[in-house]
Amino acid sequence: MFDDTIAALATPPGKGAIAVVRVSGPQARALASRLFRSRGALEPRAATYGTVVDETGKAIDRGMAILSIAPQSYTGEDTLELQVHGSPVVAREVMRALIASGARNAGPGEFTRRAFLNGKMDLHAAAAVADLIEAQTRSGARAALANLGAGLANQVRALRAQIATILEELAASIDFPDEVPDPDTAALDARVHEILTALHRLQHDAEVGRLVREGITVAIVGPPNAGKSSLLNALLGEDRVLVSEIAGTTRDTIEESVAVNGLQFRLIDTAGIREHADRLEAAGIERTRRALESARVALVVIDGSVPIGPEAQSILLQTGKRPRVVFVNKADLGDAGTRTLNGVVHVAGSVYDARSIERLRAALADVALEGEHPDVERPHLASLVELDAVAQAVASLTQASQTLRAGHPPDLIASDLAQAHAELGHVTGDVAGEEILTAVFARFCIGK
Amino acid sequence: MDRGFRSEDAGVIVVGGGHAGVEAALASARLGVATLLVTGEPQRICTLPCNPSIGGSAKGQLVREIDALGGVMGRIIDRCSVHARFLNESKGPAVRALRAQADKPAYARIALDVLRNQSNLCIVRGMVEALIVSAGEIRGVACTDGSKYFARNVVLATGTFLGGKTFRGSHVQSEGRFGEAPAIGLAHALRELGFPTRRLKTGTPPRVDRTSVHIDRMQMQAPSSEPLMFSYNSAPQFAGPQLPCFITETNARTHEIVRKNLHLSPLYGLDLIKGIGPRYCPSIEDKVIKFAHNPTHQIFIEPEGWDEPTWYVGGFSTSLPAEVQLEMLHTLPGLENVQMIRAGYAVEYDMVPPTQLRDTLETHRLKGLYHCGQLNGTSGYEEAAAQGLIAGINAARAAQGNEPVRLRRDQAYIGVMIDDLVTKGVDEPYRMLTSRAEHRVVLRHDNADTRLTPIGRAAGLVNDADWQAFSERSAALEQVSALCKTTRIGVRTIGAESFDAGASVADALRRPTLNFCDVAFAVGDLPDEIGERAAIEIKFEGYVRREHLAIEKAARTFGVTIPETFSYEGITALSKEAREKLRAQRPATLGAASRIPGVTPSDVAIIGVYLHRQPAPA
Repeated sequence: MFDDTIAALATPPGKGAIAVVRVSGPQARALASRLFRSRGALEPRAATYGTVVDETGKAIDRGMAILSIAPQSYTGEDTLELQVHGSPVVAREVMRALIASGARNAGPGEFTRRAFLNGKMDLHAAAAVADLIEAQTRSGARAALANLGAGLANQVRALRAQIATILEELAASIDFPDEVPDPDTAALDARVHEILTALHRLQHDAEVGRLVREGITVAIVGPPNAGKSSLLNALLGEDRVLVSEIAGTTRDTIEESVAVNGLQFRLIDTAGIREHADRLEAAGIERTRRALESARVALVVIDGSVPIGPEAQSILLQTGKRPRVVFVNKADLGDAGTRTLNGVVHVAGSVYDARSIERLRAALADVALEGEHPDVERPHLASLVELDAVAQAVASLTQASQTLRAGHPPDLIASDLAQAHAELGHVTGDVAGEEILTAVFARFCIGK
Repeated sequence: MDRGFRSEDAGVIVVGGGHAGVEAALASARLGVATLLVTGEPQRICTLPCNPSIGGSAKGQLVREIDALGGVMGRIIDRCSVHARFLNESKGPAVRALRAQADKPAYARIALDVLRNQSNLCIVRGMVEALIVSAGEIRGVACTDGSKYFARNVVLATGTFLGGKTFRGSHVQSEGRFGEAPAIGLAHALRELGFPTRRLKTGTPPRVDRTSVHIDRMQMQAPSSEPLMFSYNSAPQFAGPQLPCFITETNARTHEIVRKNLHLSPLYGLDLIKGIGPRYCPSIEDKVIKFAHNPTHQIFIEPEGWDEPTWYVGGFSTSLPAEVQLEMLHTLPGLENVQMIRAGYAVEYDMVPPTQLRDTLETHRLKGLYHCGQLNGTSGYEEAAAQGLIAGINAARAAQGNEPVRLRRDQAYIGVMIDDLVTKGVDEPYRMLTSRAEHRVVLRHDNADTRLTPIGRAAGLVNDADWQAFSERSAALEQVSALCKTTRIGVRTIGAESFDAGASVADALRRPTLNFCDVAFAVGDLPDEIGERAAIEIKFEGYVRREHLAIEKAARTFGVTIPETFSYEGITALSKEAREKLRAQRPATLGAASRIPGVTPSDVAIIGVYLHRQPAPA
């Protein structure tokens, strides 16, 4: 019945012993063979130990996979369950690899919904579910309101109403050409853009909200012995990490949380980025790259007392176009390196100097939110489904704008506008048709 | 009239000689079924009792679709069009629509000619007052004069005649339309058979003497100089001279007269009219009251024919007393001294909610009984004709023991209309609008034949000559499309557009400013019509492809058929309202079920569960 494949994290987000990622749909089997490596083939409904890899074949983590073949599965479709270590970074990486390989984020309750629509529930269960949906449908708008808060819901409703107004004007001018003047294409484009801008703003707020909620990942990177682990300790204010004078001591990434100016930072210490013959070390370097990929902010640590080496240069180059903070350590021991770094240094000092650390904390908060001071009280879109809907609406409106700018006639934007209108209805609970089903199943915990 | 069959051998009886009845009767007869057309006044077949125009936005597409399926409306208007124009040309390929004003007497005359020359068809005079029914099936009709006609399939196309009542101020008259008796008995008969009825209202504006109009005080609308034809099979040539239309507007004085006389309005002051009127066709009273902030309203002065003494005052529909109408007319620039030949009036009539129909237009209640046109709550000649055509085809096919013809929403505006009618019903007179069609990018004026002529042919309605012409047209279209893609444009600029050396004609056509006529030099001499069609397909290829993907996606979920025998009885999970509606309306697909108001997505999901389930062990 469904031609797409959905995936979701089935365990609560955050840290746990294991993270379980569930996949359902026609591509589940193909995803298993692409993203899971094991000695033997997967036996249906049996747990198999192996390596979860990303879409390029790079290892993410060791873990278990369980494949169920339709219709012998919870959803009635082919399903795949991946159990990996309970790190948020690992779980997110697995999800990212699944999406990159063709799955999409499941909406809340979508697994249950599929089970329901595929007739996997007995009639009593189906009836019970249906009763719940029925109740939920009626209260859909109310529930959405509770989720979003009246302000945000009204904001989305207002945008949706703006789209509806354009659709109505288009329809009126088409169906009553004698009475209603032709739409002004340039003005239409301006109005579409106004809505787009507002939606971008919602997306931005949601991103800030996510950062505030989940914490901001900071990858501490730098050449070996620049003082990364000492810096981590200094930021944490306690001795957590083994510090050694021998370059390359830190073999594993280490993740620790620290609150700075009311924001939660998740600090990831890594091995030095350096080509190394040692295989263990190579894995550490790989992890560094990955940490950089998944981190929002790069905290680059450089030894300022010695001339800038090729490693430091490469890291500076690698992080040049992303939010980063450059900390020059050991400034008290000399300026051989500091001299050659023009305009990229945020803080120069020492990990053992409390004032340096204080300035560094401020710089981190500043860079992480691009100078903004987040209003943590301001409501924002939080669920994946809501954000997906907004992203879809943005895509449709962008397409509409392109149509207008290409000089095509205005009627051709009608279906894009209708699409955007429906997607936003999804967010506010003012949905009609098929979309409601997706929304009403939201009460079921995803991944069940 | 002798048509080579005795009336007792009729396979189909059509009641009513308006646009719906005429298409129904012709379709049925052309499928080879002995058909009786029973009408109150055979000389007044297919009059255009309200506005003189055929087509327009969305309605023009309906006429094209009727023509592509093998109906007659397009061919008739092509032979008597006095002012034709394309609407919405700049707004998009899907909403471009043809509209033509008709010579009213010629239209009726041609329609009658066509009927008279049709074999298997017999026109009889009679006012049907009862239906002959036996064991849940229709068997025939009985007329007020005592005559009875028998057939297993009956198409009702009664227009506004069912319980018709007209209003001019406090003057209320029992009539089906101007000067014609209503059908009172039939309305009772239907109710006695258990059909619910509801009152709807519509109206028509006054007609004025054209010699008393000062056209120099109004804005002129020129007709097209190029021949514009509805039918794929009409020769591209107007049958007579093209006439201009005119635009004037109301002013504060007009509005003052309306307000001053509102107490004489059967709708407002007198409160005589209970039926619901169409929002999209408001009376001048409605306009003045509901849009009080508008200082003026446009009024369209249109000829009703080459030699007709009357002009139609479009946008001025009213049921105020005749003397007030004249006073209002005199406030309009150009009409200061106008003579009113006939006053406008409101008409109220019975309709039977179309939710009691299958998507074939057959009633659930009585096997063999079909409803079409205003009886189903629609308004407009085109809407009526389109339903008449489908009802006629299906009645005739039933008489022959063949499967009915159904059109989907992604195939035709006709499909959209019928689906809307049978799933949602109507709250006001239903008019076809482009915004009702969710897939309109593929439901265009230009491609109606590609969409529907094969269906008309399979149904038996498209004759050999037309089918041959269609096949040639399709082949030419394919050839031209291929040619545009493989031929280089050969020049570096056309107007403001410039091209790479290797650019094809198709590449040039994708530029919004260029049309087929701009690139025709590169592909040689081709009929304009074919070239323009190819150009639309090429220019909007991406949009059309996207629409087809959306259609396919929806079809996978909602195209699932619900068997006729499906029982909603035991499904307690359905809400009571949903169960009752589903049981009564029996939607043909999950999609149709989902569009019934009161049927929630969860209800649809539950039906889906039942449809998917393996039959339970006995």
